[in-house]
Amino acid sequence: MSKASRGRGGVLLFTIAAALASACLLLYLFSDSFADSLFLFFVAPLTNRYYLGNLVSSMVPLIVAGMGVAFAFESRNFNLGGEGQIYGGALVATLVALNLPEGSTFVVQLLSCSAAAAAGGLIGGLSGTLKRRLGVDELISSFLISSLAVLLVDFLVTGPFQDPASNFQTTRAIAASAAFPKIFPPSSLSTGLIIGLLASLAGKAVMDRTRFGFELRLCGANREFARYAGIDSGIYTLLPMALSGALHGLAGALMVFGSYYKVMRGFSSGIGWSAIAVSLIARNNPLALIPAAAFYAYLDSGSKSVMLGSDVSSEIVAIVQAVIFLLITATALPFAERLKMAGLTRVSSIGGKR
Amino acid sequence: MKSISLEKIDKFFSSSGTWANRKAELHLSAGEIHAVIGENGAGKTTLMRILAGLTKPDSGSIAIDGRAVSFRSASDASRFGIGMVHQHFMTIPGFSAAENIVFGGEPRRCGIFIDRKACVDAAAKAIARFGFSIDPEKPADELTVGERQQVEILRLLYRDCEVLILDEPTSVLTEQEIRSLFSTLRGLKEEGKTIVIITHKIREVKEIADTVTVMRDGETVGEFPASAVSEQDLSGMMMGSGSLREHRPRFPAATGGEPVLELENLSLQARHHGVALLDGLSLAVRPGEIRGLCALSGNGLTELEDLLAGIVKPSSGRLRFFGAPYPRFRSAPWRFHGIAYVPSDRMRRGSCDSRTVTENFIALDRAAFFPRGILDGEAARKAASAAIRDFSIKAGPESLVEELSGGNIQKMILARELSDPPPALCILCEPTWGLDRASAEFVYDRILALREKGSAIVLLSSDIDEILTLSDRIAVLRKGRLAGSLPNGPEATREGLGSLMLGLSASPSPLAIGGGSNE
Repeated sequence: MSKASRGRGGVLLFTIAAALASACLLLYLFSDSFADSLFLFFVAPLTNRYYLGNLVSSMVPLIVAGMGVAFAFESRNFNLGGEGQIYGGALVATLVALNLPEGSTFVVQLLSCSAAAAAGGLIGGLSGTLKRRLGVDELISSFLISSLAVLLVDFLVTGPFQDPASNFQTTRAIAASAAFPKIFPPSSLSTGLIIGLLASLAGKAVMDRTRFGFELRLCGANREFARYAGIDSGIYTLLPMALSGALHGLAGALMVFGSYYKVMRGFSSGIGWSAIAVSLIARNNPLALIPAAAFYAYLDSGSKSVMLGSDVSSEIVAIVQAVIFLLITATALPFAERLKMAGLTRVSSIGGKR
Repeated sequence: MKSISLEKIDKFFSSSGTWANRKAELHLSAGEIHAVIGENGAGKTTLMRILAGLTKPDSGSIAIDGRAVSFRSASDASRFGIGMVHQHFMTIPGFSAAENIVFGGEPRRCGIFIDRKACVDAAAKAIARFGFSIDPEKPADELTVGERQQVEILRLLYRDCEVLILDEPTSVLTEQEIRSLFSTLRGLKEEGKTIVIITHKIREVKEIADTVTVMRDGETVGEFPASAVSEQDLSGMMMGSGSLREHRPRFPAATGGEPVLELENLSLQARHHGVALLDGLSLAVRPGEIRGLCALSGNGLTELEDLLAGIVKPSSGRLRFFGAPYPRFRSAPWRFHGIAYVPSDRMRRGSCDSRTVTENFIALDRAAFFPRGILDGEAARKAASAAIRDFSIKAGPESLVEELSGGNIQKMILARELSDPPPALCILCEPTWGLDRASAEFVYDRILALREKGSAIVLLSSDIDEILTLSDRIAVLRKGRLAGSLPNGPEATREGLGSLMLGLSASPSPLAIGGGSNE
């Protein structure tokens, strides 16, 4: 497998090149002015303070939610409920911030973020508990529970917590003083970036240096061996799923405090899915989440820039993004395959004996 | 194909910093049984993987009938009719025997749909033609180890392999299964197939091989007609120096002391069909005693292992540890109880192959290596390095376990389990499976040292020689019952134990009456 790990770098480079090349090809086919589109896609996001700042800003939830995906993956659990967890976390963060008495900004932020993480953690932890107690597949339950959560939050945002002063489907905005300070105006880039980067470092330390991370990874790599080593593998179904949900919830809160100040309908807009792609590129390495998120955010902002600035329709841009996503997932396939094989051996080794 | 030759093969593994092969050579002629013999880590498996296209050599050449070829993958090699049966079988558990046999070359309908009936027919035809005896429709996970091996061999034959490479084919088989494998191999040779078997058992070379190639430390020591070299010569060439010592404990076992482990009328029923897997076992093991338990596969040894490991609970009867109820499977305090457990399934239960040696080594005593929950990297590296040195494991602390040879993985597990302080109870399951002679000697020394320090040792093994070498008392299981229990004296012989295992003797001697009368 070391051969495989040596080959990984090459495969990753190839994927990135292929993703960029296919973006070029699609733009060439569907754009009237290829050169302009190329410029808009690849260069424009970097030329303008506003675009560049927003690009970096959009990395933050990708890193934090991506880490949520990574912790679940590393323990061989799959959290497909990111969308609902982010959305739910964002709503809880907003409501807490709106209802706390004016006071220390830091306290408001801390309480809101904690509440958001707790909300996400509960949603994720529910899937973990279902798997631990009843053997419900967490991949399916996390997706279904999240879909429910999305509908529930939709209702709350457009119903009880609808901002009466707005014509949009949105909650009231939190006080500007409670938000993270902007550091790169006019873009939305805020000090939330620091939290994202610190989270990545902390995630790395937890994964590599702590007993929790070690036991979690051991459970992911070989559950039979983990059991033999006295690790309660049931706990490592519940905890990673709850942690994963909590990080998604936190990502939602960071989006509220960093960029949006409120929750509108469709708030998450696919960040939960993008985080899976980011985590796959980073191969669950928390530090690698930073460049992976940068790459993904760059492609995303390029697509938006093309969509806004040229004749290329939004459908084509969506196709470009889908192709990139597909390529990334394909690269991650050997990894997924190993997970499946590990699942197979697990079944055959302890099936029927437990 | 008339001949295959591998010349000047070099292969370096940078992860462990070792040369697996250096100027290694191998010459095969069609229609022979060729044994490749050597200690663990001598480079046998690597050389065979190169022949099978699974590993690329750093340099050297492969020639078939004098024409140079190069294999980029296993499918390249299989185009030349070369295939390999691995030491750790690769049957797919959810598939039937037939599906496993035709896997990758399934008969199809309209080119896309797998024709299940034709699969079974094709597999059954292959089974009949080569004189095997397995039910093609049986799921692979219900096959015995010997049958799974047959499936692996049939898979190659189904694909018209001319050269079959078998990696340590006998290491997991019982005596009877080995007999049947050997007669199969002789039959295949009659059919004109070429067979390469990797082994470290000299007896087998003399019994089955026409030609033998001896390897040591990655190099080819020489190639000889099997009939022209003596066992002593082979042993000398494999080991470089030294030879097998006599190991029987010379001093009587300490009979005093409270029993460390007691089994009281222990029974285990199969989950679904109420068959008794274990039936009324009673035993006691005292400090400083090695209790050997032997059985043919399928007679309760695996079930007893799971019971002693605390993985399954007995259907009735009791298991006691120092008179108290037996602790749960590896529950955290187990370590502090002082129970060591070397599982027979070293790849799945005993180690984690995608992790490093260090990570595997620290996996049990996490409280010590993660003080306050944070990894003490220095201590972990030191402990792993010391284990590597003490047990002369051919690997570095950062090597991935999957890059280690089977023997080195076992040494790593033993190093972890048998480290100080000496455990009060050792459960050792097939401790020297697949280990070469020098490594096995080394393990025996460790086990005897533990006995002298007062550990109570339960040795579960299907290897009669091992049982006779180490045990103070021997118990034989047959069909889940205690078929006999006797001290390891002059009356304990290979033949005697063999007939107890097979149920041939009606055990008239008072020494061999089942149950716990003399416990």
